[in-house]
Amino acid sequence: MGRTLPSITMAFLQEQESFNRFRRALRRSDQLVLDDLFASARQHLSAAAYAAHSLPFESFLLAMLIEEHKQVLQLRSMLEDLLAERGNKGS
Amino acid sequence: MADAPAIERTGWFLDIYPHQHDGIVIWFLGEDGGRYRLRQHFPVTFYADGPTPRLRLLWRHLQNMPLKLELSRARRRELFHREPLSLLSIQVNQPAELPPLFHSVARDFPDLTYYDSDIQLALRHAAVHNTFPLARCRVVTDSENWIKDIKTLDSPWELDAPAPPLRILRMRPDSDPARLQPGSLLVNFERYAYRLALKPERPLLVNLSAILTRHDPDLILTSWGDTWILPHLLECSRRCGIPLPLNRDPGCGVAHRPEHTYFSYGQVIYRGQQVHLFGRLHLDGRNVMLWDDYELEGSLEVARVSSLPLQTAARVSPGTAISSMQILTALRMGVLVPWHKQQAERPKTALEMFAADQGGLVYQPITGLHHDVAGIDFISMYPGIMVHFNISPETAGARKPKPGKLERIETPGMGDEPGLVPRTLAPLLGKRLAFKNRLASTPRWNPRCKSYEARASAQKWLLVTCFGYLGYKNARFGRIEAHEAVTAYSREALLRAKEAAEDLGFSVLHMYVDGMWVKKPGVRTVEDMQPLLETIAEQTGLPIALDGIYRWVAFLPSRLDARVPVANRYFGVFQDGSIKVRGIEARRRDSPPFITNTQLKILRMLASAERAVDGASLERVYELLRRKLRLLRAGAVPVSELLVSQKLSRELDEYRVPSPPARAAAQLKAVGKTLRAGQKVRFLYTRGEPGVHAWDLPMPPDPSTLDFAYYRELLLRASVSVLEPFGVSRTKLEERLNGYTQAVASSLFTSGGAGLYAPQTFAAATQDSTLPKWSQSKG
Amino acid sequence: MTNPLLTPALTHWGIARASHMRYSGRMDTSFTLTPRQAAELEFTPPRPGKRELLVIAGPHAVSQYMLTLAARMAQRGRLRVLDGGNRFNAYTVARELRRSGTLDQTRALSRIHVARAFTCHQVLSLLENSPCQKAPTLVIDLLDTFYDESVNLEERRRLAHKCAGHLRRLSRYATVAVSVRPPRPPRTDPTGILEIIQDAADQFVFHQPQDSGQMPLLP
Repeated sequence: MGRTLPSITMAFLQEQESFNRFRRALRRSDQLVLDDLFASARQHLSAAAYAAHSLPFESFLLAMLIEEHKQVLQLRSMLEDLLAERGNKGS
Repeated sequence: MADAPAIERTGWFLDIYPHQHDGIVIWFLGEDGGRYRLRQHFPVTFYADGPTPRLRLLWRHLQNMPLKLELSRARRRELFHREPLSLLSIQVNQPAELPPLFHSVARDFPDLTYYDSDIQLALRHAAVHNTFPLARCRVVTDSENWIKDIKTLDSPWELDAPAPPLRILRMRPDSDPARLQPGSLLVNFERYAYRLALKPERPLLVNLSAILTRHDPDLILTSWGDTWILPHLLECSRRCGIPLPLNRDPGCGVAHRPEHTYFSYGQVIYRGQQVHLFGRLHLDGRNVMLWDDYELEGSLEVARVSSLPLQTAARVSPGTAISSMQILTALRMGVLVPWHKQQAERPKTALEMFAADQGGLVYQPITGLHHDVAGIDFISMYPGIMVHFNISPETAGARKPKPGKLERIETPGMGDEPGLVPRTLAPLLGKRLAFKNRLASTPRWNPRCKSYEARASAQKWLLVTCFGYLGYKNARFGRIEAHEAVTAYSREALLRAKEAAEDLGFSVLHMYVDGMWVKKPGVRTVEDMQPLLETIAEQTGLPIALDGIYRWVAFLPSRLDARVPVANRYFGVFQDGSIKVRGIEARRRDSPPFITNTQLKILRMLASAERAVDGASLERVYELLRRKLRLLRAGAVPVSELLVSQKLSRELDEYRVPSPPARAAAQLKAVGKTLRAGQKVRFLYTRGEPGVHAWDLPMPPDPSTLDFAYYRELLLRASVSVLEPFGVSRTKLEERLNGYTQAVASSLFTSGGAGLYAPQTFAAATQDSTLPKWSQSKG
Repeated sequence: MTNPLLTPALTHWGIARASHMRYSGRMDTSFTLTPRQAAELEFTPPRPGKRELLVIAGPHAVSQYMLTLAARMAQRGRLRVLDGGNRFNAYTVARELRRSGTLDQTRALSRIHVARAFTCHQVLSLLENSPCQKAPTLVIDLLDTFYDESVNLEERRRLAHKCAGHLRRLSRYATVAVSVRPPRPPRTDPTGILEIIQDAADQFVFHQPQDSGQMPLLP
């Protein structure tokens, strides 16, 4: 009913599918990591939709990067806490 | 026609229809308790547009017709053009003659454009006299019951219109005709109850005839009246030669409408055949929209606000009802109602399509369990946008909507005057908001609550559709640009709401089209939320309400991949203890009651926890499940609770690979029961082939053939849906239920190692809930 | 089917040999036709600037082909697209533009002007309101709405005749490429509507893909 352009989810799945050959040639463990990356991009489909790019893959890449960086930030803060704890224990 | 004294009566408007010789017939329920058949001269007009030579030909063609017509030139306005058109106006004296006349004219002159040619009589009458079903009126008639004057004293937007004293007769067979051939007809009228054997037929007809004559009901409410009782009775009456006074109007036959199936919002809807009466109203509870929840009240409300006759209003789709409301507005505005919708889209560039062709904004949820969450909703967002920003087919598309700006669109050439659609929706929206307020301030024990709820739901049902109708291909006044403008505004409004929430220290967990879930530690009372609500209302111009503050709420991921968030799939408990569930088995109409009831029970057990669900409450859930599984294994679950009810998505012969409902329908077909696309099929899952056993077969299923393993699987899946946010995975649940420690499959977890990749189990969010939760890998 | 290199002698050396070939997966061997292979098909792709009415019938109204064609045309200049079957997937066009190395996506995409029709009356209305112009016109899935039986057959045929007239009018000024999908079962067209359009065409192609044969685009 009026919707002609596929939804952002469909566009996402099409992009993911277009990397099937790439995925196939990866080692199994790396395939799982790739799957995780794609899954993480799904957290921000709404932003990709709103951005309304004709080639949405760049938006998906940014989304993956956001999630990666969140992990880094979390790890960094955990590490700092651990080191601080260790430092306190030591002294 | 001497100076006979005029008779003035006050009462209620019951029914209206065209008549061969009497113009139109209006049935009137007098305050004095009398039922009057009144008549009214009511000529109706339609218009033709085209090249002048063709119109001249048409004029001559019409002049040669035996009918009494009045032909003239007229100038009338069309919706999309400011300049009025110059048209041929054709006035027909008797409304009953219009449809066949138009049919023949359109056949002989197919190239011309026609307006106002297929409008329901009730709408035309409403446009002139403001009448609607059960409206309170004062009529002045002469001694022969011809109406001289009619004045409506009531408005469809009246919140507390007193109900007229309708005489209601109820009829139903003593069994479901699809399952078992009924033996008797049960008839009720006030304190009288009758049981009439369906055979022998002559006494049945004689008795029923006497009942109808004696009680003279205004409304006949049936179960299966459209699809079984009335066709059966009419057939008997014809065969035995005994007339049945189903109609009050002796001159009319009974109107039949065939069954049909149609698509709406990706769903297949089936409507059974219909039987309409004249002078009396017949409603079949099994074939009426909105009946399950709100019975007569819902249908009455639809009839009231749409001005469609009650028998029609009760059976039409919301789209048709909204379309009728738009037609009525057009008639009142003096705007032509096109026969075929001509307006096509104005071209846009491929680049513009990316931004324009989107739906509502959906913000993926942060899955997991959350506390300190409030749910807020825009009330009737899309209609509200249409009304507030004046989005209508003739206003939208004139200029490209500017993103980032929420300003009212001007009606071209009409300045501040609202467009057709906002004009139609504004009173309905106003009524809905008023009812919502009423409901909020009426305690639940008040008996009027049910009535308010019924009417509010009918209004919501209509309002929800009007958006779809804005772009719908068959809508008279639809336009895709208007559709797109509404979604553009809604996305903008949601984003502003998100920004307002974040500015006030909330984090936004999830947004779905017109609702959002926000979280802030310490959120407890309505007062805590008030500043946010006010800011949003101010920033967006749209009314927004607090749905509730949750004790906790869990957003669920995709069943296929736990890493993938899914919109609108959650369950939570409000502070008052009530549960809200979306997107899981308990909300699905096709799930067996055994599964949904158990799932709801589990939810209620979890709901009683204040903040954290502890081991004790989980243990109670396990005990419940163990009990349910024992019952299932022992075959002690009533078969009716294991029934699956699914719709046939297409005609049986269109299936390449038959789905379970298709296989069940095939079984029914083999015993002569044909089901159409859109109808529900009830069946049980059985072992082996064909895997299903249809419920309405003459032979009941052998309980030992039921596929208990599959029902167990369904039950466990449904349980895991609601337990997973609390840290109970499928494996853990199996463990607990089976009572043995299963060595946790080491392939599912990697303990440390593997470098950067160390997935954790999907568990309750503890500290920083804004980070996504990793889940079990499928490795 | 055994590998002739695995002689009985070799099997003693611990080389595993499958008892019979069993490969369940589909071999991924997508390929495109070379221009010469394409030329072997009896089909002349639309030449830019040639004024003719080309009608292509095929499953899914050969929408993939039409979208690719739209992308190619957009690289050269303006074009007009009428979408009669809700098939204009702008993402596909964008991907095709990228694949063929377009530097300025935005410019190319803004050269395509799309309008959609959701009823057969709207299809006619779109064509009636299309002025003659030098830019080519693509009509994707012209007849989808004409297969809707809620409009009576006489009326649909009348509209189809009028549409054919407009298509011919437009084709006097620029290329007009129209795609249609044949009606579902049965193969032959009981309504005669496809025939009306077929008769108006300068070139008519019926595309029944065997496997992955792609149609040639622009020479």
